[in-house]
Amino acid sequence: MSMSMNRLGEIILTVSIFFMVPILLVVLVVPTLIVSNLSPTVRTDDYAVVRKNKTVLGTQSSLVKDVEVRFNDELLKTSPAYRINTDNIRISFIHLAEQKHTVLNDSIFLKNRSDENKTVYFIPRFDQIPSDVEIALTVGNISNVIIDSNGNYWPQEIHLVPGEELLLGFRIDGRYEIHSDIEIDIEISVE
Amino acid sequence: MKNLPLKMLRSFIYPAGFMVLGKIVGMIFITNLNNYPFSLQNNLSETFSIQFTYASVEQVQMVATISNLFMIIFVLAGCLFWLIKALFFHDSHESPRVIVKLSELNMISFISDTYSIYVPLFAWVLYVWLCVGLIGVDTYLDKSNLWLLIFSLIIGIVITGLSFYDVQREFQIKNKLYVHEYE
Repeated sequence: MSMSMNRLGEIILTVSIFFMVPILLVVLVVPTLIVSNLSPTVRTDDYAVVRKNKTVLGTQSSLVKDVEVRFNDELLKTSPAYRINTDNIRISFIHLAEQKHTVLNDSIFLKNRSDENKTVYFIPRFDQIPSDVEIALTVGNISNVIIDSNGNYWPQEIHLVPGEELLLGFRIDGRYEIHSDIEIDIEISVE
Repeated sequence: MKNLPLKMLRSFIYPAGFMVLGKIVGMIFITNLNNYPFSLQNNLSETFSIQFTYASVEQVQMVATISNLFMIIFVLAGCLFWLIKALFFHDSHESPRVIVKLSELNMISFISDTYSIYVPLFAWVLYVWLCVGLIGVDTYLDKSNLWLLIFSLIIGIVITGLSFYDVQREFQIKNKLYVHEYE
């Protein structure tokens, strides 16, 4: 009798453990997934900006609304290291592996075509950045570094009154080692 | 013993709920306090398709740090409740003075047995370490500040140490009883 009770106890314990493992997994994994999902991230796509009622700017071909944005087409054609994505709002500067040193100068033309004051934001975004690259934005005579050679970066904002036109100088300067392609994105959005 | 899976499930649901609630409350608090514009982003290429997105890395770091702080404080609050029960309102080693005081307050039922205390205490301590792990991942991803990871690690170590201290004391009491029975 005592033996059979022990056996019964073992069975109950085995069944309990059998059920406990998936229960433990569920109650640990589910909240972990929920909390991980709640972890905030930096906005990377254009529609996220659209949802906040901001006007999203693309390049010449897309989504230009209140503020006109143009780039120096001539430079785009001649520079192999520079590309603009027309499908979204990102402007990508791709450094090619075989280039040892790059200085790119370009200009961005902005014009406020609306009747309201507009603020244009330049937000640098990047997955990986070389240690010695510097990207600067020139407004008038003042050059603001938006990504410095230590990898620090600062979003810049420029205010445009109705009808105002502004030519922004753009400079990328960097000395690179030969390694895989580097892509630096700068998002432009308008409020 | 046969009710253990059910009891464990009940014990695990509360800390899980507190953890998620703390994270949500922390996010809402810091987002409203600093008036951060946020949006939901659907990115199918990522593990978690729906993401809360903010305009800059600084905002992400602030939101992640404060929401993680709320999360660990919420879980810590529940854990402290069970730890205090284990240390001071445990039927195996409660002091007579505490019993008299509780009976005066008609709260004698607050004293619990080992089985009723250790299962939820184990669950809450486990969730404290789960929070530490999640904060560690956020710190590794440069989302959360390092001081929070250090703070939560200290909390985890202290809570675990106190729990082990109570379990050790419980074993000593049981051993004494066992020796008395066979003497």
